[in-house]
Amino acid sequence: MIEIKNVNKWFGEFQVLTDINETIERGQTVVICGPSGSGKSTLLRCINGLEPYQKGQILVDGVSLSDPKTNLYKLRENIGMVFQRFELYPHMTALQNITLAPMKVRKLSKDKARKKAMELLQRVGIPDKADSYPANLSGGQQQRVAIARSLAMEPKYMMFDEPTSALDPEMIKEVLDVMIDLAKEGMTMLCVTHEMGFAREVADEIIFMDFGKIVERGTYEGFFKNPKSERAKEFLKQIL
Amino acid sequence: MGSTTYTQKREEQADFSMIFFFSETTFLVPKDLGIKTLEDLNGKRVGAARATTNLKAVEDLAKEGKFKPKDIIVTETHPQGMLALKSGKIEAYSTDRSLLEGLRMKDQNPNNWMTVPFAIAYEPYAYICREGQSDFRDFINNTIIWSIKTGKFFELYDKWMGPTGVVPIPMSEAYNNYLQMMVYPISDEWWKQ
Amino acid sequence: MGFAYDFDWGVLWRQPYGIWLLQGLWLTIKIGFVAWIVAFFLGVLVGTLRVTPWRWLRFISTAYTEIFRNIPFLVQLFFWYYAGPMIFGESLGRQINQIVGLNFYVAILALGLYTASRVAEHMRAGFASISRDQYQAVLSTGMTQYQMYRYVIIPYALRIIIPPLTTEFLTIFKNSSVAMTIGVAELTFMSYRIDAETFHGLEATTGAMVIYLILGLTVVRAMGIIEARFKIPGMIGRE
Ligand SMILES: Nc1ncnc2c1ncn2[C@@H]1O[C@H](COP(=O)(O)OP(=O)(O)OP(=O)(O)O)[C@@H](O)[C@H]1O
Ligand SMILES: [Mg+2]
Repeated sequence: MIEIKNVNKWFGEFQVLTDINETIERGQTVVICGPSGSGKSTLLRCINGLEPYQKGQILVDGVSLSDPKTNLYKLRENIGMVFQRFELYPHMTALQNITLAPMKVRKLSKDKARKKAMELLQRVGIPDKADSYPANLSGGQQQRVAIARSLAMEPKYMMFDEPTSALDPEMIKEVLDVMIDLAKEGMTMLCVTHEMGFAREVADEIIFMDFGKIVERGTYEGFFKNPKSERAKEFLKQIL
Repeated sequence: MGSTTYTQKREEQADFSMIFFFSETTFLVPKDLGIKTLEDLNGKRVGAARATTNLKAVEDLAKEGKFKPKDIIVTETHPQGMLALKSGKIEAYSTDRSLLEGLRMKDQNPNNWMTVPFAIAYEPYAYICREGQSDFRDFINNTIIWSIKTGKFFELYDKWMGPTGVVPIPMSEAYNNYLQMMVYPISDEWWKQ
Repeated sequence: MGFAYDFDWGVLWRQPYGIWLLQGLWLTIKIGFVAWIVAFFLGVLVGTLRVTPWRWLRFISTAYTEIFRNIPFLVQLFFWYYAGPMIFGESLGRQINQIVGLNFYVAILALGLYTASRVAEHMRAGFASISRDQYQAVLSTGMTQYQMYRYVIIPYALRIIIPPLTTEFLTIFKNSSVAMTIGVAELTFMSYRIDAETFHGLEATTGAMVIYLILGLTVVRAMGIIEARFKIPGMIGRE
């Protein structure tokens, strides 16, 4: 369970996050949307400790991130993250990208790590690309390798930061399908995305952020079909 | 044009004036080392400046087995040679006695150092001029002879290297004789030709 | 003739002069190679420390880089050779000054330390060209700062900066000629020595130039092979 309590964050003078409250139960899929610059990426980075916050509290399975005794490296093993621009290691093959963390962090043997990586590549549908370098993969294939790389650490939580917004339309589906499968298998997920189809299929809750605040929250029907706030209505008009 | 050591190899590429000075290649050493003969330098590290005839003399001597230094260390300049001597990188620094005396006098403690009482080579000094310009060379030679004849040469020698000069180097009898023998009758107004 | 210099190219083959040039070359290669190993590893370390989260390590490595790359190498070399041993105190300093071949070791060390500061700067540029998200992606898999740099960021940055590193590697051989000033009998020293002995400096210098050129081209070729072997697939201009 991830508990976010009254979190506030500033970049210097500029307040990026204001009084964020949210609880994500195990097995839930939460979709975050909102206009550019509203603080969605920053919120995700606070949850796995890549960014510090100044006020409030974030607890992951009861462990506070702001507690100086918390081992953030250990904590991040449990929280996978997928980025908008994939961020694969360009000098390594797909397989090496996936096996690196399990071997170095979990001290898995090379054979075990490879076996597991191949299973994951199978699962995201590109086992034949194991020895390809990122530059020789399409965007959709790269993002699926990135998802496999995160899953290789067997995380309890997965965070996605606009995983399809850098992709051509024909590749979006192949990535969303992988994500939908994950959600249906019971993975706890936090997704920044504007893909309504994905939200309709798997989202338990949709959060709408604007200017660092959670302005509105609801189910797919509640939010996408009947937004309450003016800002949400405007925003939806733009993305639809 | 500058004064330089006259060697045969150099003679092949340039012309030299008549020889007007002799210097000895020798060593500057710490006084307390008690070095009296060349053999005393066996097993010692000796230094000399790059591209000098002194360095060549030291190297040749070592090659011929006349003495066995532990190492020959090449410095870029004479003051660096002195620095190497003072910091203990070498036990003896070699160049012309006149230059060594100059280095010694400029040191904070001139009495810590001495030039050894022997020499490993003698070097004739002459002016170097461009090859094939004999008129110019004659002019230089005549100037030297004229200055010896009129005594100007000895005045200058005294000023710089006399007992109260900057670098005292006593003029040996042989050197004095050589100078006198070089002089041929020359009219006081030779340059008017 | 109108040209008051008689060329005598035979001086390059006549002994001992030809051997001198080869002996000089061998020393140049040794100095350049060993100094490069020092420069490479130290440079990578210092360059990496400059971007780590620990403030005092950052300070030390920044100070190192600025000191070493802003003082002319000739001055540094003199300093290490004449003043360096004094750092260790009177008696140890004397012992260091006794070392046979001290100038050779000092040349390697000084050249290594100097070039390391330049390698460190290239490293920093390499790190800066890697996006912030790339760093975060590594950390998000649970890797530590050390693991992140060791396994992903440094290998990645090194591949990016192979071209400037090639230049540094070439420069180290050229800079090694400065070691002549502390009496290291490397290639330039030897060509000057031939000049002093024979007055055929033009031939000796030309000989040294040709040898440096061949050495440089060999290094370029070798680095080209390394670059091809380690290039990042798909990076522009590397195909
Ligand atoms: N490291 C930083 N330093 C200063 N300001 C930052 C930093 N990172 C983000 N910001 C600012 O914080 C605000 C929120 O950024 P964030 O990336 O979280 O927005 P976002 O909702 O993810 O937007 P987008 O949809 O464009 O990705 C922006 O105004 C951004 O300029
Ligand atoms: Mg964002």
